[in-house]
Amino acid sequence: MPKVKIPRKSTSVDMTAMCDVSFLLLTFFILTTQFKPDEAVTVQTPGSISKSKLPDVDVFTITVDSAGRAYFGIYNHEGLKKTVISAMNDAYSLDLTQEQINAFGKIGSFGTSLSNFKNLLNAESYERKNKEFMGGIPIDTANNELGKWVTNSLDAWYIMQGVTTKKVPSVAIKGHKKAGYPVIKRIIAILQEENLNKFKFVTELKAKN
Amino acid sequence: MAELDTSAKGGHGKGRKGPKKQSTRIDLTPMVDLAFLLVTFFMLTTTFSKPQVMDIVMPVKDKEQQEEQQINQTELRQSEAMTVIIGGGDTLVYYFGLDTAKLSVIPEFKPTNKGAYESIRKAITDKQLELENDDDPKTKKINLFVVIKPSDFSSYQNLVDVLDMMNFTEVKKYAIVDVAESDLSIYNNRKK
Repeated sequence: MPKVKIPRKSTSVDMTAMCDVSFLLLTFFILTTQFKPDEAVTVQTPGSISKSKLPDVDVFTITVDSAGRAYFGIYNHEGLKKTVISAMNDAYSLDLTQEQINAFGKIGSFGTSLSNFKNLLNAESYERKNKEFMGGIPIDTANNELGKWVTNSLDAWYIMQGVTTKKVPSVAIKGHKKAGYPVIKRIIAILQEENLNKFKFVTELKAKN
Repeated sequence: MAELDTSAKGGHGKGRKGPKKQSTRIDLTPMVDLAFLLVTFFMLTTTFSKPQVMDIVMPVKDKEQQEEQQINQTELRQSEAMTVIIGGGDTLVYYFGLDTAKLSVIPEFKPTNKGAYESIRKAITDKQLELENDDDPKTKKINLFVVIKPSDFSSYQNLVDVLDMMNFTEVKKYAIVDVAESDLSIYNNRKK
C-alpha cells in the first residue's frame, strides 16, 4: 500500500486582522465609556415607553428605595459638589475640614442625615454603605433635610452657570417600583417648595405592546 | 504572521551561507488576548445606554388666586374629563367627570382589578374617538383631560404605569391631583 503523504500545514492563523478589530473595539469603548456613578443604592425602576433620556451633566437625582428612604445625588460635577457642601457647611454649621469637603467630591449619592454627615465623610469608601449611613435623608416637614440639599444644590448650580443662564438643571426622581406613593408625593411637594415644577421620573425601557 | 517560523530552521539545514535571516513576524496572539480582555472590561463597566426618563410638569402653585382660577377653568371641563383613581393593591377605578361632589348623577364606578390597564386604555381611546367625532360646535375641539388621583395606598409603579398609559394613548392633558374625600369614600364603599 502506498504511503499517503499528508502535507503538514501550520495550524496557526494570521492574527493581524483580529488584532486590528480588537483594538478598534477597544478604542471605541475607551472613548465612549462612562463609568457607572457610585450610587448608594440600586433600585429597580418601573418600565415605561418614554423615549427621552437622562442628560449626562447637570443632574440631581433623588433616589427612593423600596422602604421609602430618600437618597440625594449630584452627578458629574466635582467642583459643584464642593460648592454645595461648603454652602451646607456654612448654613448648618457642620464644622467640616477641607479634607472632608474634598471627600464629598468623590461620593455619588448618599442617604445620611446631617447629624451623621461628618462621620460619612470620615469613613472609608467601603464603609459608606454601612447601615448607619444608609438611613435615608429625612424628608418630613419637621426636619426637611432633603429640601435643604435641593435648595443649596440649585443655588450653587445657578451661581456656577451665571444668573442669566438659559440652561436648566434636571432633577430626576428615581423610585423603586414598590415605593409607596406618599413618599413620592412628599418629594414632589419638596421640589415644588423650591419652585421646581419640572422634573423627571427615571424608568426602564419597556417594549411597546 | 503568527505562523511557526520554519524558514530559519530549514535555511540552516540546507547550509545556506550569509547572515542568518530573522523573521520580522511576531506572534500577535498575546496582544489580541490583552486587547480583548480590555474590551471586555470596558464593555462591562460602560453605561452604554443612558437611563430613560419621563418628563413630569406640575402646575405652579404659589398663590391661592391662581388655584381658584384653575378650579374655575376645570369646572368647564366636566364633559371632557376623566378621573382615574389609583387604589391600594394595584387597583384602578375610573369614571368620566372631575369630582364626584360636583356631579349631579353619581357616576358608575368601574373598579378594574384584573386587566385594569387594558380596560382603562380602551375607555380612554373610546372617549377620545367620541370627542373627536363630536359635531356639536360648542363642544368641538375638546381634548380629553385625564385627572390622575393616586391614593396613599398606591405605589410608585402604579403611578408610572398610568402616566405611561397617558403617553401611549397620546392624551395631551393630564394632571396628578390629590384624592378628594368624596372619591375615597365611594371607592372604599365599592370595595366592600
